[in-house]
Amino acid sequence: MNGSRQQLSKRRLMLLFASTFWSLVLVSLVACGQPKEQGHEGHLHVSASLEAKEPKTGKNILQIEVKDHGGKAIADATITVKPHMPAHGHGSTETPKIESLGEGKYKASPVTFQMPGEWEIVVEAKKGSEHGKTTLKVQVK
Amino acid sequence: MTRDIPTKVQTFSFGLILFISIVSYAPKVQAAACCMSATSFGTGRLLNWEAFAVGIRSTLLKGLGYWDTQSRWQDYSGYSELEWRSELWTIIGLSRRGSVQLRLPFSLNSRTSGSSTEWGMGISDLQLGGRYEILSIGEYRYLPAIAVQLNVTIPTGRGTHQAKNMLGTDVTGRGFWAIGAGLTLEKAFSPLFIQLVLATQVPLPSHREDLGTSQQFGVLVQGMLIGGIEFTEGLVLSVLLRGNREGALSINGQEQMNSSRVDLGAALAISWRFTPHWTVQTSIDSGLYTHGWGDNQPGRITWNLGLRYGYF
Repeated sequence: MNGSRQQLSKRRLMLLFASTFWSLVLVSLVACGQPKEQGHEGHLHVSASLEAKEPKTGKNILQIEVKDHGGKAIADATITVKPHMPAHGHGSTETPKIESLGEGKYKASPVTFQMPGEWEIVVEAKKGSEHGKTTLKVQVK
Repeated sequence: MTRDIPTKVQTFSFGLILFISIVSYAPKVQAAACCMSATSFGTGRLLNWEAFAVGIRSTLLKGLGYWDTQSRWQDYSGYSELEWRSELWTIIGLSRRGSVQLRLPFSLNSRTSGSSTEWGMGISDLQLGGRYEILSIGEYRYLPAIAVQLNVTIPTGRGTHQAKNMLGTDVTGRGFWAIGAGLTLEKAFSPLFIQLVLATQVPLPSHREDLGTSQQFGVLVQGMLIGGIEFTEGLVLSVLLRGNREGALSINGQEQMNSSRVDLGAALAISWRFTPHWTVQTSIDSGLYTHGWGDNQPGRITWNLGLRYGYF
């Protein structure tokens, strides 16, 4: 009787361990697929996100937002976008064109990834003597 | 009383019997130790009596996925790639021990992403090399043959940073000069032979136009172990295990994180010298497409077909 109880609790413990393990694996896999911003540099606050939740090879669109320290939108900043693949030592085959959408918002297109893998998109904004930079890490499928 | 023989034992016994049958059949053909490996795989080397050799080789590479920078295997999804490489090569004997080699490759690429397919082609990186046999095969009964190689890769192809096509199909080379060196050890136990190839390639720094910086790929270290058997005169079956490791990429002298590469694989090759001058070769090369069997590297299955003419 005691033996079967012990077996049952062992089984429960294993089940708990297995479900926790696989939940962690699932969460990390989902998290891996999402683009991650790697921090900001400079006085201007630059944020960027790709339109596609799961970026694919080929042409993509990047949405950018630039604000100053006080949170005021910067509409006429000079924006540069450089996608590159750091682990392979090459950039993108195309240079994205930047379109101002007003209220500190910009669109960069095409952001081209010529192959699947881990890419970085370096987005830089300049306005007079002030600048800001952010790097977006992307897993391209 | 009867007992079932476990399946593993049955398989092993069958394999052993097959192996013994092959080995015991093959010696009847009186294979020559000098020649089995020379034309068995890849460009190889000159046969003892040849003045020069020329060949053409076609390679079809099908991308199945890639190992990311954490060595995890990722299947391609909504993306496919196919590459056809073709090369003309020649080996010219300078002396009994020395030869020079030239390889002129051409590349045709196709990549599909979603609904768009793109093609690109061009001359790939030219390779010029020399080989010197310190000890020729069979020269000393108990010593293996020892040969050294030196080569230079000339960036005549288009590197990744020079690509113009959206999906980079016009990339046909690596875009930098490289100097290579290798050592080959070989021992024949007719009709079997075993060969160990150790090689290294040192890429020279190149200019990265998009970043305006200097870039240098890591040192490549290659190891290959080849085992072969001659069935009938001129017909050789070889098995190859290979491992490549490329060091980290440096930009302006600073090593980039997770940029080293590992590529492991195995190949099976058959070569047939159907006349004293002509040899046909074919091989299939594959990795083990699962986690941990590669790093920061595309996973491709490769099929080779080559034709070789030896002049004497």
